[in-house]
Amino acid sequence: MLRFAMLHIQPREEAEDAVQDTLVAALGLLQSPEDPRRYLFGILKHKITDRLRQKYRHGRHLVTDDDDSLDEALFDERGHWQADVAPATWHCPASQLQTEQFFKVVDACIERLPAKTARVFSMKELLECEPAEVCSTLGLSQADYWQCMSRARKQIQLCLNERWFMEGAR
Amino acid sequence: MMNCRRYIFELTSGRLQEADLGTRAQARLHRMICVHCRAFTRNDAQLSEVLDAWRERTVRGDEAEPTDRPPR
Repeated sequence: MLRFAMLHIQPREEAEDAVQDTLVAALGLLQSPEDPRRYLFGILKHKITDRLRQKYRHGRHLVTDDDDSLDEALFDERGHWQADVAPATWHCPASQLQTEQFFKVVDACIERLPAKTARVFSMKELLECEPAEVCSTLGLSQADYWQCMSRARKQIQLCLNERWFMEGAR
Repeated sequence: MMNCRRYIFELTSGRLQEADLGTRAQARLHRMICVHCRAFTRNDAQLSEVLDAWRERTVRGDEAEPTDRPPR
């Protein structure tokens, strides 16, 4: 749980507080839930979102990422794929996509996302927040949200391509 | 006419799922004529499955112990 919290909240002490709040809330339950782990993570997600909302409500803003540089590397001036980065379909047995080694590469690709993009992406994909909640929590416009999600998916696909799928083809 | 850059933005931002019929028709047409965007779209669908598995694995706690790595 602490590692999960630290993906969203820093410093470590603040992440520990969120985990403690979660455990205290769970202690107040009269009955134990069917799936305690999933239930605890459900509470933790709310605690993390509350903390993020407080953090960005008080005038703190995420630094804008340079969205255009990635698109300039991918597309020419007419908006067509640049020849050296044009994608090809991934071919890889499904079993290879469940290995520890593969998930390490996924982790590394996600860690390479720029700060603002990473924050939006992790709220959507890891905390499973709706787009409207991501925008209201982080104080973003819908256009900002779309830019961040687009950048994240493009960059992660490129990164996996380079570090896993093309490696396998060599 | 929709070009690759616009198509990929509509797809990866999530806007395409909620787009009007006209935009979805343009996107479908673009996908039919562009082999690279077709490949990207297939990969993006596979990426969704990868991310679902990654989220499950993170929530299950299968990975390493926490570190003091700073946030991105």
